[in-house]
Amino acid sequence: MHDRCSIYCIVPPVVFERIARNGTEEQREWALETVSRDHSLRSARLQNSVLRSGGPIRADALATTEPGQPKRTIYDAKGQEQVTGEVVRAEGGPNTGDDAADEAFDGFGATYDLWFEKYSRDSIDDAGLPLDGVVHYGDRYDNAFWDGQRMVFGDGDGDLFNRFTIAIDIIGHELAHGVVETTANLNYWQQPGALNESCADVFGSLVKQVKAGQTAEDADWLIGVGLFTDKVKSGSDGPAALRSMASPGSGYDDPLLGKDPQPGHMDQYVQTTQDNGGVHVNSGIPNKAFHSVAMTLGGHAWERAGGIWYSALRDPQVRPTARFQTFARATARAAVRIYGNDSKEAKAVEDGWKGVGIRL
Amino acid sequence: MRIDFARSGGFAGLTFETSVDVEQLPPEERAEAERLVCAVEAGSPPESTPAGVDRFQYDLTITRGDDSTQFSVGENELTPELKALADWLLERAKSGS
Repeated sequence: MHDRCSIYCIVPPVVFERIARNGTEEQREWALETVSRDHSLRSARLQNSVLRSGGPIRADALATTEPGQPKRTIYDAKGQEQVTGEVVRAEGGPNTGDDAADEAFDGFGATYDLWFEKYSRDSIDDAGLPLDGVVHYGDRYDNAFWDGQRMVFGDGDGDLFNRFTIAIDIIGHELAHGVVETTANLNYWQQPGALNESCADVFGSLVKQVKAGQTAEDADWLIGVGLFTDKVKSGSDGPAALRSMASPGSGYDDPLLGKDPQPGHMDQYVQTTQDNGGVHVNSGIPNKAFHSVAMTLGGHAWERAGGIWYSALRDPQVRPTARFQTFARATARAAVRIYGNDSKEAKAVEDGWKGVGIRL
Repeated sequence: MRIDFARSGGFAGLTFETSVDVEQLPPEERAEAERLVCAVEAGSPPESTPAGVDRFQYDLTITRGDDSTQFSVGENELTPELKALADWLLERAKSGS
């Protein structure tokens, strides 16, 4: 058998790349395993994801990820319900001309930049997790999701929904689920699930606001603008959206879809067994709390409000079972810790939660 | 036979619902409904699972007289037979039937 250490020392990386691409299954595995011994977990993950795709391996894909740079790979599922496919875009590659692939790629970049530049978080797991996306998943699939390892996007049904890469906050939302998973890991059920959903909306919206350079006052605080086709009627004077953080329940109001069911206060909390106990519905309550805090403080929402929320996600007292009040208290502790007991930030947080019916 | 269907969850958090009284359907649709239900009943039952993050949750009840069978399944655990029935029901729900 090969003496792996000495071969690694004298064989240049490009040869491993060729073996990994052209060799037998056994040879491929050996080549990648040999290279990955001296690389961090992050590049092994990338290698695994490329192996799973069966696609070509770019020479730079085997390099260690430097913090500050995303490692994005976009796969085309070509209408199949599979989470692999041909690699259509990767770092350093040109625009593909396929809107879904390019929007996913750019959205990943913008999301990576929010986390790294504003919160010093190196990708979703703070360890440079490569960002893998799969576009054209399924047939007229009207959804997008984070599956724990990658983001998956449907093309929409073309009737009620456009493609799911069309709005950058959708991408930010899904990747934020990965951040929640690697921090508080809130259970996806009832109140903790609604908090999980809300944090995904919060940081999804912040990606959009950073990209547009908006203050809290400038932002529309709408989630998924552009996702609905023209067929769907808005619930406000603005464009139709899936959700409104400023005014929960006003995203859409449509003869077919009905009215946006989100509550903005605990008095209207929805008890249901659908939607994992209403996680996309009751998220309106913490969404509104965040909006209130951001608007009270003014300026860029990602700075103080976002920083407080991110700190709360990492608070050890916020366990996977955390309900709204537990999370609210964690935001209050964060505000005091960062800004002081009598700060306007601490007051804004307390008032924000009080306004939605949560007393600290 | 009566079928009650709801798909909830997903990123959009929308719920599409419909109920079908199979005996009231035009003949072709009735035949299709019965075929799809038979396939579900002949197949292995799925595990009742919660939906994954931003995945759909499917709730289905099939009622015949006093007998009813209920499924509450996450998108990932749909059997092919359940998926076929769910897709047919979703079309009806989306068109406002």
